[in-house]
Amino acid sequence: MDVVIADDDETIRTILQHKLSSEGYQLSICEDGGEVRELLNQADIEPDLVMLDVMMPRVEGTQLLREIRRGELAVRSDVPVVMLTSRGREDDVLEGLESGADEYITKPFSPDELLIRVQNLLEA
Amino acid sequence: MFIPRPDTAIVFQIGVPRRAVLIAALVLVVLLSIEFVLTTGYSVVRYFQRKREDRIKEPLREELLTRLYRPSDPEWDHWVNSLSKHERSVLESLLDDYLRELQGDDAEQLAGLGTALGITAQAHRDLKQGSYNDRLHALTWLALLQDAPSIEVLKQHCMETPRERAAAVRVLDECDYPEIETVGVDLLLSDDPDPFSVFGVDTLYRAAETDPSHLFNRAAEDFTTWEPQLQQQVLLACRHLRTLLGDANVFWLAEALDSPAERTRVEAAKTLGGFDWHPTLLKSIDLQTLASDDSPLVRAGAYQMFGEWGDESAIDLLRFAGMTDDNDRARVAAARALVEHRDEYSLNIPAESAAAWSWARAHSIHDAAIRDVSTGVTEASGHS
Repeated sequence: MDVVIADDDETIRTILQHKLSSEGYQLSICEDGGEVRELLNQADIEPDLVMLDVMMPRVEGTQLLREIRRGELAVRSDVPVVMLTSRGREDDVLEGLESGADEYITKPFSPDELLIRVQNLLEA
Repeated sequence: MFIPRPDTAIVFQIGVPRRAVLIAALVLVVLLSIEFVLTTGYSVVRYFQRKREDRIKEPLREELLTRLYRPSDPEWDHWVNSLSKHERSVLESLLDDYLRELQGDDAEQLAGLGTALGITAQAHRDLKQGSYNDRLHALTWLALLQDAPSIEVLKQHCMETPRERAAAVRVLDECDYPEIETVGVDLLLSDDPDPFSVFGVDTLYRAAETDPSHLFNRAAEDFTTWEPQLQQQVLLACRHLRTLLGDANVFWLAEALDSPAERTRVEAAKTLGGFDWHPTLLKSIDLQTLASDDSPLVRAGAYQMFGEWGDESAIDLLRFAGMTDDNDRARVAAARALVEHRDEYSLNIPAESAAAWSWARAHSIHDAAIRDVSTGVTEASGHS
């Protein structure tokens, strides 16, 4: 299973990298919104799941999510998307779900819980 | 513009010995040189320190995550004992980073590293014996490590400032302390409290989140004794609490509308917007008086409140008081509240409010358009 991860926070990236790769996922990791937009716009990109931080430099996660759902990027528009946001920004959760997020993870988060949610999405 | 004539201009003549000027200039040059050398020296030292830290940081990070996610015991003690003092210091900073992002089993597992590094024991000691800054630092660590001290220790040692109170309650919140809605609120609001920082307001909200009854009852007793800024902060926290209140006293909210402090009345009106489910409370509010408050800010808050209630009488008030308000901002607030209900009521907009109405309507349409994720909307709305 291929998972694209985009988060500008190195701590989060390394947690996700260790947790998901230890479960056998193939990961593509991006450090900001611009980088992940380029990746998701490549003709041969076919991730099984995309994980986006809401607040990222260059392009915000919510904006990318809308672009994905509107079919503006090469990636398929119904790819499962998990959004990551900080606690205290519950408005982001509503906005993200409204924009078509499949799951929302609030930081700080439990990697075990995240893993279960990812597995559920991929099995759905 | 006043231009003094030559004969009225005052001319100062200061006689300063040339030697004194030279000495002053020399002292200045020496001081600037010392500052330059110190700044440059410090920057060079920090540069090499950071380079050294970066060199050991990545292997430490990798080892930390490997131990955290391996199936067997991470053996933190064994690892920490093998590290140098400098490595432990860098590891402490990494631990801080990771504890801020993790919850659940991983956070618990990582807390063991805090114990192995001696942070937990030091934090408990600092709470009782440390300086103010030591205590704040200790509270931050205990919150991250989810290791709550006793309430007695917090009451005895951590009540010096609103910031320290908030930090103490935040530890309880992070540790899921079971009576935080009473104990936490009391720690924050007992003994003539001062206004909080944003962190304190957020902590108050978190403390009361599961059951706001105690906060509401406490406010019913003490609200008028608090400084206006604290009143507004408590109102702000209450506005965002959406949990069931039971039989808690809420009538102090209506009384807050009579406060002499303008911002308190504004916050009270905004907070009351979420209480449309409480008919007795609503009946206790004199809507006409509120809608004719001297302050346009209060009137704007009241219009927002009417809009949130959304019943026919509130909409009537919005239509007649709000749309004829002589203040532009208040009229826009009324228009924005009305736009939310444009489909429910047929609204006749007075000509003098047409601009405010059209602005609010355009804003609402734009807001809906940018949130629309249905395919093809981009082309239709002209966004790219």
